[in-house]
Amino acid sequence: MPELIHIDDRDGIRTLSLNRPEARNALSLPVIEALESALAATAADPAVRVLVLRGEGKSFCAGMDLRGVIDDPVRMGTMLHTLARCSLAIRSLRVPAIACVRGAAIGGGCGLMATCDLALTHAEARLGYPEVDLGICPAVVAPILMRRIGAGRARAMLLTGGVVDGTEAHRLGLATHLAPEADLESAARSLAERLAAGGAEAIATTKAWLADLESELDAQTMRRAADLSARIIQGPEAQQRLRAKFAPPPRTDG
Amino acid sequence: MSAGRTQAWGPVTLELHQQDLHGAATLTLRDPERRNVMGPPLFDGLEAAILQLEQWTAAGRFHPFSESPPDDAVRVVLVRGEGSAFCAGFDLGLLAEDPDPAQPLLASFLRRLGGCVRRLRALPATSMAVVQGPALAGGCALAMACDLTLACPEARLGYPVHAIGLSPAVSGPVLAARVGAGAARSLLVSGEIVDGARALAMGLVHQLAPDPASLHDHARQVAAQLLAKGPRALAATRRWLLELDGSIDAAACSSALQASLATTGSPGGRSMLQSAWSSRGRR
Repeated sequence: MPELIHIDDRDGIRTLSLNRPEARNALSLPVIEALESALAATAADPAVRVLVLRGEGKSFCAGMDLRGVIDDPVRMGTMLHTLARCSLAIRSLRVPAIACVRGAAIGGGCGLMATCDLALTHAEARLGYPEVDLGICPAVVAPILMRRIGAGRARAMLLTGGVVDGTEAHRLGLATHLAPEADLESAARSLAERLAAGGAEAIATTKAWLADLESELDAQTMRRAADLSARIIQGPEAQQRLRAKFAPPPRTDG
Repeated sequence: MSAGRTQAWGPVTLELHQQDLHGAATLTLRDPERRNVMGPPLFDGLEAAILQLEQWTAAGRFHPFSESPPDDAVRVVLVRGEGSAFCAGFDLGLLAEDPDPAQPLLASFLRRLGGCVRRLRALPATSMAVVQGPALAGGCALAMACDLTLACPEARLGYPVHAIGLSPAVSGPVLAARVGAGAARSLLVSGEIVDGARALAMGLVHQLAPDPASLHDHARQVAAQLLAKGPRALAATRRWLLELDGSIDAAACSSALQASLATTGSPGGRSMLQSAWSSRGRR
């Protein structure tokens, strides 16, 4: 069985690649669990100076893989809670995290992008949180996005749903860096090399201080967020919309 | 506008859309000759309209974390001003005539503004301000109370209230939640008025239509998009964001209001107001 998270180490730069390109790297429970383990291993490895998070293939991440868990509240809850823990793990890393986002980052995938300290994408990428369109409440993403782009813009983005392109995401502050798509990997590489060359202790202290200042995402808020999101997904509104999306009923009319 | 039920309270009307925007309501400030200034009649109307919206949105009658809004609940609220201005802020002419040096009228305006902003924000409906021209001081606060603000390049937003000896602190919590502490500080300390394009860059405004004429249609499109979202997901998301941003926490709102109130009735307050009022045409 292929590994769900591909790990590559080079010159202190650890690259974690979501490795499910056939599903546009959608976050199934096994993928999220593999990511959580990979993040724990990253945090414990003193040789790592920078983390780069990317996706194999054309898309960074299509979001939560809701197929098969729509009517399984327990598994759904586990997925949301594990993803929330992954976000906390990325935030609490001592090393800077860079998201290298090609193609698309949707919903939970865009949440991972917003969680990283830096996020690099290209003008044509499609990014956003279409949760409310599906009757889902993007509760886990909300506290992260608020800290990334401010509460006012997060409010507008989460309530209006849909997706934006890379240029707009850069204007909003969701993406911190923009590069031509063809140069995306090399731009991420040079950014990572520059960060790896910085004083590790200084970067770790700066990250911790920024976390203090912005009242760090606490585990309790994230647990409540995951619970809230799970509860809304199990309601009739989300169930109806998700079924219509993932299992279109056979058409009987012309 | 579509056929709907409209109620009026002096210079404020509230329309319940019944056809193409079913589920939406439009609150309109209608004193265009006076740029929709906030005086007692406008506050009376605003408070009555918000009370009606609390009923139409079923505020307090469902809990968005565990229930869906009732089928007939209003889920989207548009707030707009008739004429060339959204709202030019407090009625300075009236305030300048107040003979009492303690400025009780100004204090009552501040309390009523704070109350309207909080209640509008607490509605379990997604709200959208449509700003085609000046939205100043209290008018800007009203626009910021909404979840979304749509504007055009002709819009003018800001809090130019130091000229009347007043602190705009009352608007601080909601403004900081909108644009962040840095931009809020800059706007409130400088009293700077920004145009639509700059307001978009700062995050005061979320979307810019090319001109005032197309703004109205644009707002209707956004309202229609919001009405297509999952009602329960939207209500729960709003409620969660409100909890996370703390913008209408009672303690923060109360101390912000007190800070503004503390600047009323100062020795020079009345004369600053009178001089600002008499030089209004020259600004």
